Amino acid sequence: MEDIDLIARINANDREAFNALFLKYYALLIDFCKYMGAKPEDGKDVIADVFLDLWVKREKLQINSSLKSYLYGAVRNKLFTLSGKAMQMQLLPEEHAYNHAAADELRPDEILLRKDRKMLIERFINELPEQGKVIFLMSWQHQLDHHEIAQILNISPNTVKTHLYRALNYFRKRILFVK
Amino acid sequence: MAYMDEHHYLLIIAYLEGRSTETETQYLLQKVQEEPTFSEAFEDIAEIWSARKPLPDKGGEAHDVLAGLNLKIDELEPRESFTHAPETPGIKRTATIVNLRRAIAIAAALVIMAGAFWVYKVNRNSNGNTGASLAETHTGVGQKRKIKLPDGTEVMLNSSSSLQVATAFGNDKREVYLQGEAWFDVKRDPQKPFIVHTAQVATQVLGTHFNVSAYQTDSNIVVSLVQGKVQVDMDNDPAKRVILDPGKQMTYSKKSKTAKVTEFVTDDITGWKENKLVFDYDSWPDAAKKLSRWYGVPVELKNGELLRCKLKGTFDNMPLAKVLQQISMVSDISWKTEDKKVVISGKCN
Repeated sequence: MEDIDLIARINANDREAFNALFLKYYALLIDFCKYMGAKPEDGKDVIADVFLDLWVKREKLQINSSLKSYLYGAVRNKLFTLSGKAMQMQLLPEEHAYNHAAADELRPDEILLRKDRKMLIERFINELPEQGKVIFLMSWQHQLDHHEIAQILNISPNTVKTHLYRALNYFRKRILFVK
Repeated sequence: MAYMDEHHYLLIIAYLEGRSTETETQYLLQKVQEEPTFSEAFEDIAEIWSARKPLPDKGGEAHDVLAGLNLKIDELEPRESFTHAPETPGIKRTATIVNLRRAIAIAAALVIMAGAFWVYKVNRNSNGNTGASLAETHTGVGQKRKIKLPDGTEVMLNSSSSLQVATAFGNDKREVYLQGEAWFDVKRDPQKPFIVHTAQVATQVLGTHFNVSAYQTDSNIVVSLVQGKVQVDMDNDPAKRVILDPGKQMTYSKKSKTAKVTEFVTDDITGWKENKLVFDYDSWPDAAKKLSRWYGVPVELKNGELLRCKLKGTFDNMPLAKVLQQISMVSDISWKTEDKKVVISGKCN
């Protein structure tokens, strides 16, 4: 069922729709919590809290943007409240970005891995700077568009674009050496 | 490798995600055919995108967290009818009972455990054979129902109430979940404690007669004891512990989070079982809720002054109009029917 239908049913007090919505987004949100550096138990608590809020507010629930962005954004805010810090996303100059990855050398294990693109790409993702990694994963794994990512992380869409751009160029450069 | 601009990368991603418009798609396909560097970039990104793995399956964990969440919601706002999380095999709801061990040790016969903040946990059952589904009995407005539980315990459920019986009922504990009001005549079995869970108060007994009134919309939770001895813990605070004797009732105020113990007349508390509508110094707001549950019509108080009045009286099997007429004879109220609801106005006398 589409989110918009689920929300309409939740507005009308439908707990089954609420349960369905929870199950639809749980795996995504717990994965997102992991990117954000949360401990698994904290992630579970935070997600349950976000859905509890959603249920309590169900009658006056107005989700102007997409429900998906709302849920991610709420999870992010709660994680920050929990950790007691207001994390600022900022774009570092590019030279800071990939200092722990030597893009121009192919390690022996990478040669072995060249057939296994999936594992390789996973490694490249881990080589990204923290914020670039979160943004790339939100785009690639969670299929959020750059407007949604910007809204969730409370940063400008241009910052998201730049992060994605850098990440993709980095991957292309790395893949080139494995080809 | 030729770098491209941000805009084109985003377009390719949008295309791969199926989000691009028809115009954008045509534009991309044309560029792929005409520009080798663009084609190369497109292939690279497509390759990265196709490497996406599905997220790990969190089905079991999701159901666990959801079950806990549903219990929390039920505590916050009991519903007319229970619909719980989808059933998950091997999961059992267990109440965490604060001071339970100590309470059992102290009170050989009867123990009431209460806590304003009741924490339910979902524990995985090690032998995995207990389902989470609960048998449920529900009464609508103006209805009452008598239930006989498998252990011989008799329960009379007042109107607008629900009682759920855990499937594991009787294995080592006898646990039920109550919303609203019920009278319990518990079959004695010291080996298997009988536990009535409500939103804020859990009552544990081994065998007794008692009444629990815990309507979510009422301002008080009342536990009335007819036989035996009970221990009541509130707010997880041992300093607030109260021991109840027969004929005594504990009234817990949700607002002040304090309890007081008073005498009660058995008929005042259990009269509802014999179709007697009883007001025992109920505040008018609580009395209005009781009337609306009893007769199934919304009852509204118009005059602010009424909010501070209390009402005492018993009405034996009477229609609503007669009840209101009798109340108006002894107090300064009037009532009228508006849009299928009853509006009461007046003042204390």
